[in-house]
Amino acid sequence: MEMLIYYIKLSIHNIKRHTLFFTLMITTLALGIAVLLANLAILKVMSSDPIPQKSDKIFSVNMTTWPETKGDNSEPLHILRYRDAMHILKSDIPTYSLIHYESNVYTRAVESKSLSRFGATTRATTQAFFQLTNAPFEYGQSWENENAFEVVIGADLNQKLFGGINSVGKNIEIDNKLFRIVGVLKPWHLKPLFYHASERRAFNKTDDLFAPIEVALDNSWGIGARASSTEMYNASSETREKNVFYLQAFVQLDTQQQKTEFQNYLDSYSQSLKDAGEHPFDINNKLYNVNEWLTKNKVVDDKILAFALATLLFLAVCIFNASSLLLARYHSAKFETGLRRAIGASKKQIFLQGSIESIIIGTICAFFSIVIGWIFLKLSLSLFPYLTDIANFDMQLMIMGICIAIATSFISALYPLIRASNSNISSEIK
Amino acid sequence: MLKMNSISRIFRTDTIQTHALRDFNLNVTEGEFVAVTGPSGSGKSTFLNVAGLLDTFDGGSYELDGVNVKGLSDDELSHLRNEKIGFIFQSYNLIPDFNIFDNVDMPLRYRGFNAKERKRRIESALELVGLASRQKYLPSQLSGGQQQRIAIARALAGEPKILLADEPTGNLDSLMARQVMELLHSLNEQGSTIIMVTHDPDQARAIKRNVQVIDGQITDMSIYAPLTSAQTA
Ligand SMILES: Nc1ncnc2c1ncn2[C@@H]1O[C@H](COP(=O)(O)OP(=O)(O)OP(=O)(O)O)[C@@H](O)[C@H]1O
Ligand SMILES: [Mg+2]
Repeated sequence: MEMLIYYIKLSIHNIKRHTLFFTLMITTLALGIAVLLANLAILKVMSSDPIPQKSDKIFSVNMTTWPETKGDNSEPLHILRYRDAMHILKSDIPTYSLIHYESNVYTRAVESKSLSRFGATTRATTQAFFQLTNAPFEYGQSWENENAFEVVIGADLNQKLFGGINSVGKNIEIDNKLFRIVGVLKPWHLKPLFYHASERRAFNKTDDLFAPIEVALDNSWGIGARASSTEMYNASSETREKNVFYLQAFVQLDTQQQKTEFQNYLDSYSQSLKDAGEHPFDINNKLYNVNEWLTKNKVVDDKILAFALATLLFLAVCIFNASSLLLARYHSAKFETGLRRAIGASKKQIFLQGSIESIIIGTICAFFSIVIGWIFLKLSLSLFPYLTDIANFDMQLMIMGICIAIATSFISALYPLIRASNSNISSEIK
Repeated sequence: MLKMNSISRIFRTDTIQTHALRDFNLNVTEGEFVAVTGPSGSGKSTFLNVAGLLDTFDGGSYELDGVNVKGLSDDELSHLRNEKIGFIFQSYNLIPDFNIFDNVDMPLRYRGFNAKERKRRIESALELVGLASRQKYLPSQLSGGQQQRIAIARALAGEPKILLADEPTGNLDSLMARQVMELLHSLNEQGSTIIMVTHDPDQARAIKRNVQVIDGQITDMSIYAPLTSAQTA
């Protein structure tokens, strides 16, 4: 203990004695770590598991149903026709199954004196949506009847329309129709937004409004995301009978047996379409679990992966630089090291003292790394505007930053220290 | 106290081998004061470095205070160095930006004494060399002779079994050299065992036992009376 205090005292003395040198060294390391941290912060949101409790049990349904022979049809489609989607809902193999499409509506609270409406990103879906995604309810619950004029709203919209109170039972108006609020969600940060990871929407916010899909279609709420069709249609209400591909389907399959059965269920459906002459393709239906689905949609940007590699290399260069700086410093401190050895310090003790010094430097370095890294993050977010609100330095990342700083500082010191503690004593002092 | 038997030390470089010590025998008993003389390059410093465990040796055996040092680990050697040996170098080797107190404190730190014990030892060592009032001074604020006395205090503070001095007065003018020699003699009278390398025949003459190193070997181990040793030296 006493020794530790002595080492700390010596280290602080050393750092004070060579301020310029250590400033240079700390700056070198801090820059390298800062760039890495900024990069990790972005990578972390991009690659996080949005629903870790069951990400391996929730699957995006991709099917071979496309009737046209033009274009590349080797890959199954993640967007489905209404009748394909209905076939999925009909199965009782999955624990939960949902279908959805994205829409946008304007709405206002009926009781409000103001006539101004708020735009609301809308998910037209089925009630299992809430169970499958573990959507957090603040008040109320899901609708029970898929044909009811009932909606669930998100925390933001509830704030805008009702000032955040329990608005269950209140009515809102959409396109001159009345909808009753049956549920209000808590603030819900789903990153990435796995249920709509395609079309680069993985970092969009969760929706403002959730409504039964049948009602949405009856009222022809527009389709706000990718839709492909082989037939003309004028409104979403016409899509039920037409070859319009726009619905996404997700199922929860808790066991391997469920998964196999459901795969067979899909395959025999696609086969029956083929037999009926609707498409000519080999059956290639796929069930991607959440993380596979995110990977497939390249949620982690290639740019950022390449950048991560570059930052790692940059850090290696910084370590190398710091190490050669230290080598020079230990070289000029040879006399003191030799003297300490001569009067009874062991190699171990010399090494330990140097290690303590490097840890102290690492700690100082950590502070600057986090500050500079945060600035870098804010700067680099201009490249990824859709991450602006969510990429940040959380506790975990800062602790990681501290560990990296201490580790890099120690690694830089390692070789110079081994050299110093093993140098010949008698040749250093006369 | 110190027993060297047929020690050899060979320095190898790419092209040459230097037998710095060969068949080197020496036996020093407790309380002795030994002056080591000899021509430049004869191996005096090499001997002192081996004796002080700063350097290894290639053959022979060496026993220090009853401990055979062959094959000891670095930890054990460092510990022996710290506990049993006090070094005095020609160029003092004080750390310039540590004050006197902290310089003398250094070996005690590695010994693991508590603060109180260290303070006691530092003060009494500084007392012994007559510089007790200079604790807060930096080395540069002292004369060469005073700095060497501080270095001696540092060597003494750990109460070593043996003091090893390599030309301790080599950098000092004659007046200051005399003060340092008086100090070493009085330490010897109080019981310290001292081995000192010197080039100064007058200093050697004043020391009871003289050994001469020539070509890495001790060629003369007889004990002379101060006067006769002056004639042969
Ligand atoms: N580290 C070393 N590597 C190679 N040769 C060495 C080394 N140290 C000493 N020597 C050689 O060993 C021999 C003895 O050197 P040493 O320093 O012991 O002599 P010395 O008697 O102390 O001389 P001086 O009186 O000049 O101090 C010399 O020939 C020297 O060149
Ligand atoms: Mg010498």
